Amino acid sequence: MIVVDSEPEVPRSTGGAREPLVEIDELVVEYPVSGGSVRAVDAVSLAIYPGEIVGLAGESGCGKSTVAHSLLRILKPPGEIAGGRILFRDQDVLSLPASQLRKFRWRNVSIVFQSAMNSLNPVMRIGDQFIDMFKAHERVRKSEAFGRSGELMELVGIDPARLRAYPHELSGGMRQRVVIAMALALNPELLIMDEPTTALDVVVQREILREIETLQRELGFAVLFITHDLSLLVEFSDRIAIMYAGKIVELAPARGLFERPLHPYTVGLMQSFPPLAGERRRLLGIPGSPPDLRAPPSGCRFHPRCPRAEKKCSIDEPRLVAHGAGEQVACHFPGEVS
Amino acid sequence: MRFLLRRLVFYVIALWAAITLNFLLPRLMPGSPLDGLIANYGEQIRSNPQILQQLKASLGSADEPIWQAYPHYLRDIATGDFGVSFAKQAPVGVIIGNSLPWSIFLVGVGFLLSFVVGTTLGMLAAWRRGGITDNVATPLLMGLQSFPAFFLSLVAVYFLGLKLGWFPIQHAYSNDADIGPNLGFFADAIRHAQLPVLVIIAISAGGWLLGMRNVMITTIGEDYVAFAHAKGLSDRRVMTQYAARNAILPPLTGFASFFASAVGGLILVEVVFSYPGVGLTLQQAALGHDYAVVQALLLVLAICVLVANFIMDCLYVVLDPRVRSA
Amino acid sequence: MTIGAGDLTAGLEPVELQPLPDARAPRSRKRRRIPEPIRLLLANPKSCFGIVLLCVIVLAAIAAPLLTGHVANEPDALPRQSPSWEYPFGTTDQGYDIFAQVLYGARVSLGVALVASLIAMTIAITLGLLAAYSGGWVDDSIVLLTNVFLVIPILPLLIVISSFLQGTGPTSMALIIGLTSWAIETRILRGQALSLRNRDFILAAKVAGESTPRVVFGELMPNMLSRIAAGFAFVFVQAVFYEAALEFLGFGDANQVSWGTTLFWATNNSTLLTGEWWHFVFPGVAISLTILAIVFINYGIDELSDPRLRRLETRKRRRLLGMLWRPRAAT
Repeated sequence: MIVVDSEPEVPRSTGGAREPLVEIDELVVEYPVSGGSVRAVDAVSLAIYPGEIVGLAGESGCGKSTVAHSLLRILKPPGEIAGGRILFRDQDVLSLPASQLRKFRWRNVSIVFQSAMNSLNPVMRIGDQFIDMFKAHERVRKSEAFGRSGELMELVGIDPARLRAYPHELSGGMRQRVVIAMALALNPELLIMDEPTTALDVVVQREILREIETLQRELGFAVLFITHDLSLLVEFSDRIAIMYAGKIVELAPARGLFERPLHPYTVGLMQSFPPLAGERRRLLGIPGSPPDLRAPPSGCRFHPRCPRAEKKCSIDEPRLVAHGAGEQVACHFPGEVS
Repeated sequence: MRFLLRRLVFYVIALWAAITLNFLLPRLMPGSPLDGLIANYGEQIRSNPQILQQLKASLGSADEPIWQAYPHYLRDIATGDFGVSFAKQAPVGVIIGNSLPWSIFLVGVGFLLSFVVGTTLGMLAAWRRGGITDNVATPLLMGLQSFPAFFLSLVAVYFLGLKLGWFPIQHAYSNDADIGPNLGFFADAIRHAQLPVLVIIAISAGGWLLGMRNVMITTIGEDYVAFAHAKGLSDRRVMTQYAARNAILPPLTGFASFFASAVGGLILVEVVFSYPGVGLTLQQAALGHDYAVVQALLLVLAICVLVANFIMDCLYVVLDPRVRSA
Repeated sequence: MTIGAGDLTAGLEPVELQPLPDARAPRSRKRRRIPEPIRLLLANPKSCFGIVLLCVIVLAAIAAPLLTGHVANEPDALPRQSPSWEYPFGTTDQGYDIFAQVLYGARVSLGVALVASLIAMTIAITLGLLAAYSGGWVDDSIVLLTNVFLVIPILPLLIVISSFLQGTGPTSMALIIGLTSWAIETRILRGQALSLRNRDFILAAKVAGESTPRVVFGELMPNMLSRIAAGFAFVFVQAVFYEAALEFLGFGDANQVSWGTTLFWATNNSTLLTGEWWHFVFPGVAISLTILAIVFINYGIDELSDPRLRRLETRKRRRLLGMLWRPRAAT
């Protein structure tokens, strides 16, 4: 079902049963360090359904970008996928041979990185980079590819004449839009956005997000939105997954997560953001710091910093289990107010 | 363009500095070189007072104070009057004119080839870390680099030239060659250039390789390379157009210092192979205290380095669009 | 690490912040790191090999009288002998023992190179740090001076100077090499110092009122030690090369015994044509091994300072040991 050379597109499933677009199943990613290896992603499971927006949140270093890179198999060495499966519509992504992998990339899943300037080759014109991409996937003439690139630029609100420019000649916001245009060029079914707005100022952030929303409604792709900014996700996504120290600790619909965070870490995150409105209250941080993954805490990884922790937490590692309407949480005492 | 202009201004300053250094050197030495010359070649000098005059002008003497000698010297340089080599009884300009083309030929071919070989291997070595190229070529070329140019030349001459007889071992062309723009001469010249060029590649490709390899490794970690991969571009395309195109820029900027030391290697190779270029000429002249030639050659070599650097700068502007708008 | 705690510290409960594992204050790093790099260098197989090789060469030079009964500067053997037990490196066409020449010559060659590199590095450190720290016209003039020296080819310059000097012994050679090869390192060190200059700990020292020399030599320089070490190795290699090259070309003191002069005599007396390969091979190999040793040490220093260059080694080695074998998808 994955794209074969002659077929330009993966057939989309229409309505009806909710079959997941992407299924990540017990994914493990390791990095070698002196004396052993570190599991940056430790048995993570996540399903993404067509057309939905899934947010993936957590602190720096919790493994969320690693999950995204694994989806496309663009992990930077020395990271290695050491276990688990990734299915895209029942096709095993991890065992795709090189030529099929190339087809899979961009047509089915595409990605937008954090810093757009670094995503564009500094010594090539923008137009050439578009054309490169088209030519890698389809047999098109340069002129046709150029024309389609122009349309994509207009889609994100940039003058097509800028195709002749070099990346350093555009502003940061424009570059980000170019990258988004590139990412949507082949109509992928899943768009991964890896901290796409972190490097931008707040105003531009909002604009970009609005645009993504509009495009998403028009084109119907699913989005995996990775960020450490939980407030963005709450507005923007359908479901949110919270990662901590390489594991998913909570997974819930956005609204539900916001109103009733179950995992103490989520609670801590929520309480870290000062609300603009409402009564003034004390700002509470989460004491301690993320664990050193070379020697993660026993049992629940969060227990050293957890206000609810009890003896059980340092022995038994909680698994991600269902807890009410569409919610999953990995905690022995979920939902108890601290 | 402003970048090139700035570089040009620098080169002019450097040229002036080289000229001035040339002027000052003999005058700064303990003991007067002129006296040494007179001691060695008294007869010849006494018989030709003109030479004595010229030597005094270029080496400095009690007759002319520095602030008078300097403009004098500058004027001589500007008019191309480098004096006369009394060892060979010929104008220095002619001597240089005979030997420079050979050096340029050797350097051009040799260093160009070593650049191409080195950077290509460096690119491949970085792309497939731990692969064959990285494990064989890198240590091999880096090891070869440890051998000083003259030693490698000697080894090459001895083993490949004398013992195995595969290559001619000295001079730029055979003694009985028909000198002139004909095919036989070109073929002969190329044959004679093979071994020196091989040595040049052996001594300098390693540097290019390592430079390119290390920058490539960093470049491979850049986001735009990951992005290019994610877009589904072919491995080769990402390696060449996205990684290598960017990775080659830093090594190119190091060309300036590289070329200056490359000249040193050239001299040694020429001496061992008795190759009639400026290196051999310089050595002979310096040993024979033929100061006019020596001074002129130092200047010419400095100018060559500057010219080569300027060419590289132009190349850099072509390759890196960011510099154009700076 | 807390999110959002920001500047609103008024009335906050004290939050216990543990320092991140890598954030040691650079000052204390000075006291703790000095033994560590050497330990790390020895752990890295490449630099370990280099260090061992270099030690062997240096020790051989120092222990020369113990290793050979012959003298280097007097012909006390039959000429033109190929290597044998009595004369492991053979003899020259004049009857000198080449083994003795290589051993005693090492003292001169290494000594000259050492002094020359000390001179060159001192100049490079001073100028480089001064330029980076002072900025302004001081920086500009030093940069200009450095760039000019960078484009002047060193060997021709050395040849010209030697030619004017009517003969150069080891001391003058060390001097002129040292005074001409500082430019490359000056530029590199200046670059590194520049990137460190704006770091917080430097600004903090300035604000605390430390004088310029104290900041430069007490704060800036200790953090550049690895680069300075690598730079010293590089300059040392250059010096060995230039010293040998000058003597080989005939500009040294031909009566002095060193690696370069041995090579000079090898070519001057056409030993090549008579097939006496030992005359030039052994001193040449000695020079090459010295350079090789330092190159390997530098290799190790490179990998130390840029972890990206080294991680693959660890994983490769572990793979070879079969510790991580399991079927996995290619990334």
